[in-house]
Amino acid sequence: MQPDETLDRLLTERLQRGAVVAISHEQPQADAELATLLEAAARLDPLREARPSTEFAADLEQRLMARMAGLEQADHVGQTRWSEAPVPALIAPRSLRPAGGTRALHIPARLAWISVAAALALTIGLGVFTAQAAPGGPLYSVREFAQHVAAQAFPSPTAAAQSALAQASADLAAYQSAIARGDSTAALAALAALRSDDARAAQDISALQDASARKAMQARLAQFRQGAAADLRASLTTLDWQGRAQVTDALRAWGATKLRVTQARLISTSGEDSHAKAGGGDLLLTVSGAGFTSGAQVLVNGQPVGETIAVSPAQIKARVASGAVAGSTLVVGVETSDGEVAITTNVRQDGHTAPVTAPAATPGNGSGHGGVGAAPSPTETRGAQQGG
Amino acid sequence: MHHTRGDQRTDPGGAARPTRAGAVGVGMTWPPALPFEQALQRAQAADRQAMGLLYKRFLPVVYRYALARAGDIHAAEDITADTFFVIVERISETRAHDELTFVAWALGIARNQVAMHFRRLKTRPTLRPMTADEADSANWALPGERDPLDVITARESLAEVVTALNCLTEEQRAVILYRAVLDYSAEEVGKLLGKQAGAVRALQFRALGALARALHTAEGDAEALQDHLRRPRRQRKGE
Repeated sequence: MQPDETLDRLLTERLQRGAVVAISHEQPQADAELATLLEAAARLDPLREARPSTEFAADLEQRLMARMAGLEQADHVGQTRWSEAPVPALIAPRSLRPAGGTRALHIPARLAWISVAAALALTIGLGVFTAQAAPGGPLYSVREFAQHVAAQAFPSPTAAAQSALAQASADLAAYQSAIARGDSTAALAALAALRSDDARAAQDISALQDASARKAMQARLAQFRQGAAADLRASLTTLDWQGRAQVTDALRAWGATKLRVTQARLISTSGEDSHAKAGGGDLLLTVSGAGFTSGAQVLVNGQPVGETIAVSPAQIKARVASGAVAGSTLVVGVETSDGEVAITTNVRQDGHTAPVTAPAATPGNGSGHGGVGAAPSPTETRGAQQGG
Repeated sequence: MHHTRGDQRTDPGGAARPTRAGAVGVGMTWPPALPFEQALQRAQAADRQAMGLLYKRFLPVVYRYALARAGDIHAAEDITADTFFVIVERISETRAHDELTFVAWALGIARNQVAMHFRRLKTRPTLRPMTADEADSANWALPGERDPLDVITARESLAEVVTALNCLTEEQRAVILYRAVLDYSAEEVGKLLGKQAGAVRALQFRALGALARALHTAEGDAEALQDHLRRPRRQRKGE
């Protein structure tokens, strides 16, 4: 057997068994050489056993799936994949491109570039002009169109993330404008658009391949959220309790607040609760959640009720008169001293959960801003009727 | 190519890795529940679950290749990520029809990403010494190797090996990496590189010789360092 074949056999055995293999001693000089070569191969074992960290593997998988989703979405809206689209669609739509590439296009290059420049100028102009457009307004669809065209003209992952972030900024501007006008309906529509565009920006950023670009965009997103959270907080006093609940939900999604209400429980004081008995009320309302602070008060259908008996970070107890909870539908909330509101329709009475009934109309809120239907946070999906 | 579809153990890195006993010449295996060809076809049709299977199977392969070329965990992670993003974007274009041709395609992308990495560095690969945390997070440290001296030893050893690998020719390096790091048989390496198995064995013999010489050259400095570290601190201060 040739030395290279012997080496290959010994190497195979070593890789399979993971142990040192015996070498025959018929040819001492050749054996020594083989041993040296096997020893060199053994030095590669650390590389052979190296594994990526679990965190890296999970993070990369998540980013790859997001990337696949992005590519799928791009295909669905008629965009070409980035890897297939070296030429922006504005220069030569795919249907106009000959199979051999763009070289055979019959459009004079200068004319094409002038067209591109004009189109981009128009797009940017439209984008600037419509930046303050609120969702539902006449210019809003123009703004979306301009941003869509801009995203097609600059088909790179970073540009997509930047575009989404720019849309989120425009949504925030529209929100502030609506707040200044006192139009809470438009403000909350802008808030919904803001959350949607913010989530899209976060998804686009997480799919960025280049680590430094991803970190830079993540820093921009964090900075944007920080500023937006401050703006949203400043607007809390101008909104009714349901609007404040939506704003609080957005703040919670960004990690800007911990306030959350998960469940409320009504207990008759004819039972044994000494707190409620001491207060003299009919019912004891216990609200569970997180982020409760001193000064927080319990709301029922938007109205402060009863007397707060005890507050802990995860629970508030209040004494409630039975008349305050006489309606067919209950929305129980907690309002902090700085105006944040978290609500739930998951209300139990004496340990019994009644069937779900969403609030049909805006209950009295006392703030003068009507017209916004109750919109419990996504986590608050179960409701309850009082009674039973 | 032979496929072992039975005996497997779970790799903590997330991939199913074959046991090699009795499987001569086996470089690739696949869970029998879903044939590789089907997984590839589904992934080409934008099936995320199938893409996830391919990712889990080939992540260790690409990562080890990147680590062996870059010699740095962070660079290896970046190269691995870039490689998989290209794979995701271009999987519909690949003409791979089985595991081996797919690996050849994927490692070709990884090789390009490594070249781009070195171009970005604008120099020949220079190794940044790993921190102790990096040496811990890399899994080449054996259990019980928590002694700082062992960590340093592992770090120096990896640096030496990668430096020695970078002294080889492209062909020699490819044969050694595919054969001794990625566990392909000589026949499979031949298919990956477009060579006969006999030529691969001969090349492997020369490549390991060159690697041994390169390691031997580097060992002088490493031994001096180890001797220095083994001596008591008092003695070192007196030097």
